[in-house]
Amino acid sequence: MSLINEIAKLKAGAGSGGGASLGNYSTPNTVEPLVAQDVILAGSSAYTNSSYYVQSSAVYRRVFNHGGGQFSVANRHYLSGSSQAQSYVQPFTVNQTNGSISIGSGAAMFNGSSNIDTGTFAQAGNYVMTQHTSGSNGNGASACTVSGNSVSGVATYFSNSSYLQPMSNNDTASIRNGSTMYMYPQAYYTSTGTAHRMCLSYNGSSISMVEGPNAMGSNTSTQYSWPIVPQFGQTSPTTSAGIRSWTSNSPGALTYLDILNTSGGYSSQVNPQTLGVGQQDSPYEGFGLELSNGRQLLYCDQGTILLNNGGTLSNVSGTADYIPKSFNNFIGLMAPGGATDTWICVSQEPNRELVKFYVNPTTYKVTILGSVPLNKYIKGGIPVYEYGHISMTGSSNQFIVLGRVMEGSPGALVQVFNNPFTV
Amino acid sequence: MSIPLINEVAKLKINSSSSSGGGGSQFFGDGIVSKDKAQYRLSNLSTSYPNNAGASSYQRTFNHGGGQFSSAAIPFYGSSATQTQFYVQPFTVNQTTGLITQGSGTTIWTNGSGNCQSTMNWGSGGPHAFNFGQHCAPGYSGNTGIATAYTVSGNSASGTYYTDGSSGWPANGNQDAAVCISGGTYYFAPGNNYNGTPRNLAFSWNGSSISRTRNNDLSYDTSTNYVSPIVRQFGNLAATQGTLHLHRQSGARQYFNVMGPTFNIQSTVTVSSLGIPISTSMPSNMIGLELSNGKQLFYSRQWGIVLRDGTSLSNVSGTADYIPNMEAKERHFTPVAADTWICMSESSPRELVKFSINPTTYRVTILGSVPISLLTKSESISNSAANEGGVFITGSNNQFVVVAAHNTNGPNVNIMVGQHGL
Repeated sequence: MSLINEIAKLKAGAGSGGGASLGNYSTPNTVEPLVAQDVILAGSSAYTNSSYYVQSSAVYRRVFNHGGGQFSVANRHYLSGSSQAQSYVQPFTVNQTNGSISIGSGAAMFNGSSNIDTGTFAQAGNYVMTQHTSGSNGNGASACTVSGNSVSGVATYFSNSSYLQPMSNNDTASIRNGSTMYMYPQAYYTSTGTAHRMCLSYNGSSISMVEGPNAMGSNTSTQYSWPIVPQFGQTSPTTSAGIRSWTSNSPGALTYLDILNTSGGYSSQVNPQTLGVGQQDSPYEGFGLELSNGRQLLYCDQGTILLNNGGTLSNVSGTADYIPKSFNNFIGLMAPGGATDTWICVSQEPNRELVKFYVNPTTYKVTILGSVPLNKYIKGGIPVYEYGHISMTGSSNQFIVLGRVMEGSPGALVQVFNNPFTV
Repeated sequence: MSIPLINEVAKLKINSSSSSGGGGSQFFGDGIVSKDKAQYRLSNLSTSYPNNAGASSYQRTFNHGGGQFSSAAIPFYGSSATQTQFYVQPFTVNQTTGLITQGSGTTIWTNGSGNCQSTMNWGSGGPHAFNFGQHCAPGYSGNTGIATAYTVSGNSASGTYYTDGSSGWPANGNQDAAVCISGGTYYFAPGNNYNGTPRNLAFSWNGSSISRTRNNDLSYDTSTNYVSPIVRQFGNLAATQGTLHLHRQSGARQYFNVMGPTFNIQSTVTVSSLGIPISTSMPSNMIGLELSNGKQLFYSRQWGIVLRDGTSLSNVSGTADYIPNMEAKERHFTPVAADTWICMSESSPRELVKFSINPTTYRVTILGSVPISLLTKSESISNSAANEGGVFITGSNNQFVVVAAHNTNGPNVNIMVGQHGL
């Protein structure tokens, strides 16, 4: 009899029609307690304690998981009314046993004497890079190494500034190859308003331009480089840094995709229409994930799935499944899921859910392993932006770290909660 | 007896995500089982030039019944090269297995002297689909009024177009068109058109030729006017009773033209006479559903529910129920039984909802629902299908859902088929 009652109760909870019920607030009093929570500010004291208004934006911040419980919040901002600008990284750790947060010793990657705003971020292992504007130094990049809950190896690059005008605040393609990280800017040449091929490297102490600036025959300032979410056990893609998407001036507005390599260049250029993909007058945004066999699935164009298999692109849209993450250039809301070919992500608004899924590395079919409405852990408040953060950590990946970058304050609200996925 | 009960408990616990931390998920559960998937390029223009398709809302997929579908687009070169074409890709969904079979893609018309398309209306009825808009019609280098009709049969398509070379009857929005059947002939009316003032514009299609059967200047005081798309009743190939045309005249007074199935104006009713308060601006379009007794219900997101009974209108907002989707998109509804439909819900998270309407009380009964992302695995794709594509029901027992999501960047469609339990 008790079993029958339990069935009735579960059926009611599962909703009608054989599917799952919706309505995130339909089960009150189920919000789970957090393991830990802290606001991590990322800025020198002149900024965090200043009476001046801090000029910045939530999209100028990121939260990164460097592995082993080491995290950081990266930020770009400047003080209105005071000639100070900086890019800054604030490390923090999450205890691998109890989940507690410890704030480390932060440092500026770059200090300038004027404004700083638009730019891209990338992370590969314990390296952080950002390519950005600077009112005092011109367009450039800054980087650092995060280790031992502190920052080292601070470096800046301000050569070729006229070619490095940022055109977005997106995440960008990058890869770690040995001790060198390669980041592909999403920028354009101010004199012509057109994009050029470029790649910046960081070796732990200095930044160099290892590709370009080379004219690619672009007809517009717009180019996107698609970042790749790494495989479980990796903190960077290993077989390709991703894709660079741009449009040509002859024939006009024809989009091309550069297949990026592992050493700061690209291996080939593909007209995606030859793969059966239509196009408009502008490049596609997209992102990818790297499978355990080294292949990369690329989700782009609001419905197209491309496969990069050893430097050859094919269109697998007719067989591969979609995944719950939004189609854009931000990858902070997706991370390896604690097992081979498994990831977690936060689904798109308005009903944010934490979803764990598996991708078959040869059929590209997706199995949803579990999902939990995010407001099981949070009750409104600071938005979970597309450029927020989710990842697993802990000695047995028993914790989830949610980073909610803040609009009005130079930092992020970091929340640690128990990993709900037991499958 | 106890063993199956225990198994059922275990299954239900998994479905409600309790083992993974909580229920209420869009993604986790077995309410829809994937059957097949495909992507089609809706163009055979050269890949040496960009194949633009305009906005993604300029592409459509249609359910012609019996497992026959088609996707259509009007691709054109996005550079100085001059090519425009009306392209159709038929496909079938096996009524037993849910498997997709690609048909013969074809062009209904081509134009080598221009590369353009613009605002347009789409509609379908039975094996036919219709488009009206401003495109580079064959022989013209600029946007010209053109109506296109095609018929899909045996996984192939054929059709034709009508133009008089004039740009004087343009579409005024990208609404879905209204389609009716009368005496075996299909009639379609653009959702919104004008030539300085609105027109009573309609076309007929007999399977081989298009006629512009109405093109009358209505001399109203604003270009904004709407012919409501109308959802057919179960067993019919298209609506049979006509629809409503909402317009405005001097003094900002708003009216309904009650239209017959050939889009003939049968009567005119002042909106305010129905006890509906009106504002100075025109509200957006309505969606109509045709009931088994021939009456029609029109749902407005702004002002409520209007009943059309013959040539008479009444305001039933105080007694009739609302339906799960009041967007003016006929493609989100499939009739599956008398006075019963399955539709895509109106806002995210999108759900497939089965509902019935009592044809005399106009009360709505929700018969079941299931999140569509159980099939798509992506709410982004679910939204794309809802906004710019379509969601259809097919199968020998209406057991399959077909999701069509058109790409934002060109003439492409992504088709997903799943088996639902509604």
